[in-house]
Amino acid sequence: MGGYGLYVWGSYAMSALLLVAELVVLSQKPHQPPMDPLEDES
Amino acid sequence: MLKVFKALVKRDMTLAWRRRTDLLNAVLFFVMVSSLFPLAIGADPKLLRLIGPGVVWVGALLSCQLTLPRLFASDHADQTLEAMVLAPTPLSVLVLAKVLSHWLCANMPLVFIAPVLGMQFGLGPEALGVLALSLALGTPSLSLIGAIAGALTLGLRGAGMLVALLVLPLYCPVLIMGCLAVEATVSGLSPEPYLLLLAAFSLATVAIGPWAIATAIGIAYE
Amino acid sequence: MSSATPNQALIGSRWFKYASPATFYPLAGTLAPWFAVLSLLLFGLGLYISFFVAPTDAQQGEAYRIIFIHVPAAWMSMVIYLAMAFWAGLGLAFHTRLSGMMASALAPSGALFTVIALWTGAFWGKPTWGAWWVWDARLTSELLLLFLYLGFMALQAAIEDPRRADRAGALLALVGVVNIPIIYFSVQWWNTLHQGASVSFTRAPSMAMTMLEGMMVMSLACWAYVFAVVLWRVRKIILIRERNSDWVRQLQQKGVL
Repeated sequence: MGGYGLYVWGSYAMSALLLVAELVVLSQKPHQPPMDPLEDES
Repeated sequence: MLKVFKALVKRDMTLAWRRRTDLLNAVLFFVMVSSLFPLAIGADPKLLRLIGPGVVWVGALLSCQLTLPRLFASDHADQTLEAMVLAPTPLSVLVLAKVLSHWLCANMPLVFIAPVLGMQFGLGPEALGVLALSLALGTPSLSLIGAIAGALTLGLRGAGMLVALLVLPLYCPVLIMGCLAVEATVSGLSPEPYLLLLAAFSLATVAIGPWAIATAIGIAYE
Repeated sequence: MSSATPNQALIGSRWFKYASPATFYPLAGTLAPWFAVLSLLLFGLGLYISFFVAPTDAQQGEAYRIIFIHVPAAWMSMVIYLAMAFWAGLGLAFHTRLSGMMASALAPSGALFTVIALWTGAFWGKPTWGAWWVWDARLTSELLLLFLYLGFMALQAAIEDPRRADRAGALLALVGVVNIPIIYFSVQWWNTLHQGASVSFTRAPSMAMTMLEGMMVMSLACWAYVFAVVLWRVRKIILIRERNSDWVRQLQQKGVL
């Protein structure tokens, strides 16, 4: 990358990392709050 | 409606006077924060003249934020706010009255003290005047935008900090314009365009703000 | 159920049924994978164009290739905020639950792309201008935009009642969207007066056609990615909010969830 490798790869690597991290967080099962049969959902 | 408006302003200002130590603390905070910067950065007169307008403006901004949570919190706690929501007078009128008293009690002192602080930074008389004027023109929008945040965070834990986080990005245009006005005066240029923009922004927030604040209060009470 | 009657004439009953979380959930489920595949293909194409087709820049050498992720990310950060404000306004006006959920689903993605824009902007600034952060007007505006996103998310996180959180966030998003142009222009003004016409990432003098193509494809790739992710996220939000409704319980009993 003509000497600019750190910057170019640093940018793309971080972007990829963040996008993948978003996917990982999304794929985790949410901590389901307990079902409340008496709760009134408006 | 005007009678209710005036009565509410009078009531709020009386209440504020009774708690005048709170307001005094905010003013003291303003003074102390401004003094922190020369201590932190150094007292080179040229440098001080450069950072002066910014420091005083930021100090005023932070001090304004300190007093904002109190705007609705105490009325919310004793259910006066709920009464205001149910009152026949439109909520935006009542809200405007509250914000007006906040501006008069919390921000106007800042406008008068700012020139004194500006002198500490070596600003000339013209610059000091523009500093005070820019604060006078800019603080109404600070009060109104802050009131929106205060209404959105009614009754929440950590509301004070949250209000600060919410309003800081929204305060930036006012901050920038206010400082540019003073810096223009210091460089010998006319501060008029910046002052006019500050005035226009304040007028716009006066027009739209009360409606937004009333909506926010409604959301909190739904 | 959804208050269909007054709005039916406006929107058309065929689409309006998707305003209910129960019907939107499966729709989002079928659409999301398609957008995911589309985004993968577009990213592949975009990266190929960015690294192998677009020529080396005369002034900035290879460092300019960061533009192919920086500019799309910055565009997405702004477009997502607009979308967020749109759904927020819709929710406030029509009291539709799903609109609020969409706004909440959009926020983290918007914040993420703002962070990407800021990071890549800094990494672009270091080789070209010598410093990691030069208070360029665009980057400073992006920073303030990030604060707006984080404020929205903080406000929603602080409110326990989901309905109040939706509506409070919505009002904040609308206040934000009105202020964004004002913030942008005052920062521009601030920047030109303080620094002179020196640093500007927007000044890319003569763009080769392939450079523009690269940015366009990468932008579309990000669009598709955001569609997939937001649809995925809104499904999770729907499940949590509607957990006490029959259709969710049926899905749980079937072991699908």
